[in-house]
Amino acid sequence: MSQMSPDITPAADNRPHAIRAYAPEVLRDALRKMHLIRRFEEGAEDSYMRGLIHGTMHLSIGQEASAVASCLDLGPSDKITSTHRGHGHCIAKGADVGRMFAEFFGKETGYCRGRGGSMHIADIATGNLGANGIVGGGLPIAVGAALTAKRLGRPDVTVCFFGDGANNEGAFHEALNMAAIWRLPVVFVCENNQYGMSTSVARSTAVPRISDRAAAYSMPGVTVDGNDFSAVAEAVGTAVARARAGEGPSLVENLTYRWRGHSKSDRNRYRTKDEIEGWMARDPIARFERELIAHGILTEAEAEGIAAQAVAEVEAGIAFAKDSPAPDVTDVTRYVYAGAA
Amino acid sequence: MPVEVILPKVDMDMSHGTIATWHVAEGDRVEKGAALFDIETEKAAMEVEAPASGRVHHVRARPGDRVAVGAPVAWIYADGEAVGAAPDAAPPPPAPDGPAPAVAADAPAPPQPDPGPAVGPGITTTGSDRPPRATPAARAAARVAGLRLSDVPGTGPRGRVQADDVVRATATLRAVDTPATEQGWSPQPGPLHVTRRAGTGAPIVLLHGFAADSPGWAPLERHLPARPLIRIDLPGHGRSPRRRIAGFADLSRMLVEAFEDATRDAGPVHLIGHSLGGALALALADIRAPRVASLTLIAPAGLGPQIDGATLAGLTRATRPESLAPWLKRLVADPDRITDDFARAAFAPRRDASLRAAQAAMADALFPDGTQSFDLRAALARVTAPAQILWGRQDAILPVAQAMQAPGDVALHLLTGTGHMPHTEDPDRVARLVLRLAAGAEALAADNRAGAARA
Repeated sequence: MSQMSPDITPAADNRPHAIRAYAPEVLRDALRKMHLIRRFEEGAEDSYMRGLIHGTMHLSIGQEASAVASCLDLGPSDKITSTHRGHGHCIAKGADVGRMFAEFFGKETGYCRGRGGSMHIADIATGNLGANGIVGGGLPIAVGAALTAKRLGRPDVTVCFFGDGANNEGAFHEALNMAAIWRLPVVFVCENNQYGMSTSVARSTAVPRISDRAAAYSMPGVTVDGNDFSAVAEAVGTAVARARAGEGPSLVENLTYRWRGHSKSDRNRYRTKDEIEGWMARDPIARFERELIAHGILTEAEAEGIAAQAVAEVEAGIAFAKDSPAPDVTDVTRYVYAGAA
Repeated sequence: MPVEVILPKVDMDMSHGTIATWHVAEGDRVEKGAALFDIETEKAAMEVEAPASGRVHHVRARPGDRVAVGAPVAWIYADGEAVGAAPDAAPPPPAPDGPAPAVAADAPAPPQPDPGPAVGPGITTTGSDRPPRATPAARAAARVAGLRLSDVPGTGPRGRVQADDVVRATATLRAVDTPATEQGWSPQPGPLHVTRRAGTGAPIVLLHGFAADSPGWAPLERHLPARPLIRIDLPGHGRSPRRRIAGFADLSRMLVEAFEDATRDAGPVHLIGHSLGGALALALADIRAPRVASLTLIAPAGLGPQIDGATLAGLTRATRPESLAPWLKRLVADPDRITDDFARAAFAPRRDASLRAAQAAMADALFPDGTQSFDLRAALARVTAPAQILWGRQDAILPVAQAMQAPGDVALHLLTGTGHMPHTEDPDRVARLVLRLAAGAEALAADNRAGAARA
């Protein structure tokens, strides 16, 4: 990101941070990824309801700004660790939706040859160390990846996604402590979507802000509106720059909301329709799109084109997955563990 | 193109789901996201929302039907879109598993204005003789306790038996062994329990009799296929709270309240009441006349002082099926109807000593010394809605002679070979009479409206 000095900026440039700091094509691609995540998850939901997907599935519809803006400053050699609600993170880090659908459908062309499914998509090539079915399971892995980068002297940063439910796990506290004492290049991104399954943050967490917990581990902690693309990009971008500069870890809390239930078997008894609709009115995609149009980065027609392209890409992805071969039953025990990196 | 509504997968490892109830009827308009129907799986009950806005057509799965995941159950047409034949009119394949669809014949069938098939691919129709819904924990607990699940009153969603229910039933059985004190009950607050069945047309509201409950309407309901039903449990009965009743006026106030709550969104309704429920239906028709389109009174109370106090006392006193059965036999013309199994099933909700005590207290308030303490003959004379009285000639509880109170405008049907329970002893005939009166009342109302429009 660029720091502009006041003497060369006439009056104040009060455009949002993201508009100032990133090239238009980067912003347009970010919007494309947000649409792609939304359509991907809608397609996955429809496929699930038709019985094409086994197991369960956790949708992040409504949280797209958090996923995409958090990965904005990451290159292919930077790493992420994700959660059970990780489709958005995969796409933000550059995953191909066809191979993701194939993984969902248990097909040989899937990211893990169909062995993993929704909660276990990993793609080492793009630095995605994997989603994780264990709440808080990605935190120690992220610290390990950051330790690797530091020991090897590489400039790689790891962004560790986790939810509000994980912030009360022991692994969260151990990971933050260890990352801080070793000044590791890791950014802890808490996607606080207000509920761990059906338990609200207020009922489960002693501090009013999860970012308050950063103080206990001597690292910066900041809470932002997770549905505001620019706010997330600024907060996580600052933290990534700090990590890359060798100054150690940070904790960023993105306040957001999942429109859908915890999983596909959630009966939604703990939230009111009013609450859900209130958050749906704060749609991060529509908001970012309006912002880009308002600042001349995008025309209405271009915005429509991006949305239509996402629809087409998801349709093509589903078709690819449906047409892909199923694994051979004689190979059932193979490809369960990752090969040596 | 109409939007297909499928039976969605909502649970892991779910291959089929059972439609529990539709929240809309054929032809209704829905908004995207509105509740469309409920499905039941092995583990949960879940509401399915409309995938689009428009009108619902070609509904091809009925409540109770078992449907394969992904099978279409209806289509939603956009406003102005022409409704043709069902987009997918493949004949239903033979049922892969589940009970044979032989019972489909007497299961209620909604009217099918379109030529589409009543059931579609992947849909298995089942009757109401399904085994009771119960959680796995409840099944295990019942096995250990040696209880039949059908004997355990369920308090879970739609009557599902929960583990707690088995524990309670076991405790009650133990209490029965050491006779409970019959005064032992305490009044509970809360609104009366209402259950519904979706359908089309003006709803039928059902008020059961003393010591009965809403499930007792089931035999009659099978013969009332299309219409929506609203059943109200009287206080101290079925799943309603055990409220204390000072007298008939007090009871009718509670019923008016429940009736108004339950029918708030409906136009005028067809009201059916049996025995004490008949007296309450009459009271409702008297004070809420505009809300009542037609009135069917089945052996109603309140038309004379006599009542068989011994049966009232016997019913409320019985602590086991063996002592209940002889009194149940008094209710019907043919005592052979009351088999041991029937008595056991009828006793199941009465295992609860506090329910029996609450009903005994209610009997004492309404029928002190074996006498009907309230008189609704004046109300009967004031009824303006099309009305009929049905009475079994062999009624041993309320003398059929009381039916002679019927004023000239009220039709009187005296049923031969029938006791105090026409709606269970002769449900086919009762349903026919109810529907005939309802149709007549609706035609008359339409005529009147047309006349008023011309005037």
